[in-house]
Amino acid sequence: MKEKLQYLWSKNREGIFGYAIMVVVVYLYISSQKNFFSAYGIKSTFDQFLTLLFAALAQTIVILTGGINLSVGALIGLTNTLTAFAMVPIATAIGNDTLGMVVTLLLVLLVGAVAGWVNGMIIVKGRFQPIIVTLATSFIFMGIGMYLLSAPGGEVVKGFSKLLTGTLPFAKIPKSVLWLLFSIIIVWIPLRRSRLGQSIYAVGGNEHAAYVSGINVEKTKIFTYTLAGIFCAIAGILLTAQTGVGDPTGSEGFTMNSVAAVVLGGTALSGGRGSFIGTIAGVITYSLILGLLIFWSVPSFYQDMIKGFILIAALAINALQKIQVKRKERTMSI
Amino acid sequence: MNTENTGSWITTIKNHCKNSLILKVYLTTIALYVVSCLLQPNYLSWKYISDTFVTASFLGIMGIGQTLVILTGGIDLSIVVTFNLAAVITTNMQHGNQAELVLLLIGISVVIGVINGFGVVFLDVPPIVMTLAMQSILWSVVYLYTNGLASGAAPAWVRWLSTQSVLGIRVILLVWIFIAVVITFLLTRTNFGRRLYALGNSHSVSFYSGVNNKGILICIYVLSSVFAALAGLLYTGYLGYAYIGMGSTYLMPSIAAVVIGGTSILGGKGNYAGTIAGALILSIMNGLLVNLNMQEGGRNIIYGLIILTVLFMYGRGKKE
Repeated sequence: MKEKLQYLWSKNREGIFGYAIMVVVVYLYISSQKNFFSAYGIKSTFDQFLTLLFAALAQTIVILTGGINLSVGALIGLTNTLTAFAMVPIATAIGNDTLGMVVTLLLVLLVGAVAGWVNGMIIVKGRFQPIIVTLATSFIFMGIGMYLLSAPGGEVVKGFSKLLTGTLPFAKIPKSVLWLLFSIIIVWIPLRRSRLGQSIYAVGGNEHAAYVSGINVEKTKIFTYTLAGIFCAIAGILLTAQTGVGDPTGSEGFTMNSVAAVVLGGTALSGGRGSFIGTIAGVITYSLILGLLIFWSVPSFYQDMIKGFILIAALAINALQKIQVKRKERTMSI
Repeated sequence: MNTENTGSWITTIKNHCKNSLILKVYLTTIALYVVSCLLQPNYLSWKYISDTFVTASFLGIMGIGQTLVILTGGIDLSIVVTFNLAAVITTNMQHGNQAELVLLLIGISVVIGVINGFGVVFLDVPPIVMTLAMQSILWSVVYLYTNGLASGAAPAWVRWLSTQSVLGIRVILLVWIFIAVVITFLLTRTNFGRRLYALGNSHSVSFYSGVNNKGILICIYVLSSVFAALAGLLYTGYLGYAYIGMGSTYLMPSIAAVVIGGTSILGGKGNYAGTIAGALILSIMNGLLVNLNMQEGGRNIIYGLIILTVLFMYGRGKKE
């Protein structure tokens, strides 16, 4: 038992701090909001982090391979715009709202996948640094979004928002909880256990070693970026469901917020270490801070500062732990 | 005999050109200028060239810090907010003691740089995250300092710096040329510069060669925020006022200018002359696309395509 605990601790050391912060923030959040357990309280809370959750999922898998994806925000903006732009025309053309909606969503997912695939292909085949390629493609994605809608606008078919957000008719469970479970049980765990998931960790840990062990590094990376594109598209669709409009430039913040959430969740930027489970803690922490400040009637000016301090603190504590581990190793070797 | 000599002379130049990144970058800049002249004949004037250099100068001065930091293998995302903070402080102290203003700007940017450097060096936080956190914190500082609304206008001397000419040349260009010469000298002719490249190539090798890695890194982050503050000051003079969020559109271009200039994002390779050309390319591009009545979306797409094209020209990694 003790060994098992020790094993768990050594595996998840980085993520635990993220969860510690999350527990504190959630506790403060619940205690400062009297009607948290009423259906509306939970629903509004979960809705806040839905988009960031999938943005951070996209960022997590890319960072696990040792890369970084700066096009997350732009791609969410593009898919958000496309959903709001295309849904009603497609539905009218088909003459059936539900069918039109399904076709639109499939189209948007396809666009996300293609965009991610393009990222991956350029990075792998061009042998470029991911940071600069995704920076370049972020301009392109945003530009395409601006051609679709030059200003925030567009519309969605009736019932679309209700279908993806809101609460289940029975038991008053917010649908966003289902999305959270979906991201963990349907997406993350199977992915983590699949061949692709193992390859992602191997490539991020040591690309050369992965190559020598017979892992197809190029294919793994292209798959990863394609998947990241699909997750961004899901985030874009959920954002559209929440806001009801498309905004090509409004999603830029998701890029850096997703990086911060991933890092806060204990995933190493150098790749190969961490998990989406940790990222969830980062996402929840980041999403609740604003609400917390509002309840305490602290000026929202402080919001960014607190986010920054939490980020530095989380990483600094990880660094201190690493130094401790190093010391221990040194004394043991002596 | 004679022909042989010229022949070898030409091959030397050819070889030199093949290996010289910087030449490629400047040829690209000139080609771009020629193309824009063909599309817009009124570009063929001294005034246009001067204006292009002026719009490029803000990006160029901000790019100094970004170049230095990227040369060490890091990246600085906090410069845009340092830029904005300097701008709002400048307009807020319009009627104050100007010596105090200058000292305050230097003091604040040094503090920001030291904190960035400290986090990267001693807390072992990756530069991209450290400066991202700093960016977040500084946005709050900007909001708290201005209380949500920037007040005042640029002081007269700052306006003079950014908008007036001396001997037919804009003062800001003289400032930029002076800084560019100093930085190039610093990078190529001093021990500091050599150590910086050594550090960028390999932290551990430079450490075991006796380079004070920590000191140099902190110095670099300080320089980065000082130049960002200077760019903020000059841009305020150019506009005449400041607003919140002023520098945020410069963040990605500052990285793009460095990369277009041939500096490797992995560190250790590149120089400031390339960044100057990068800033010029972006500035010419931007002006041209606006003049051609290209939509903002189209401008963004072309912007991205240019970065990718440049990468294909000289940013490729080694084949394994």
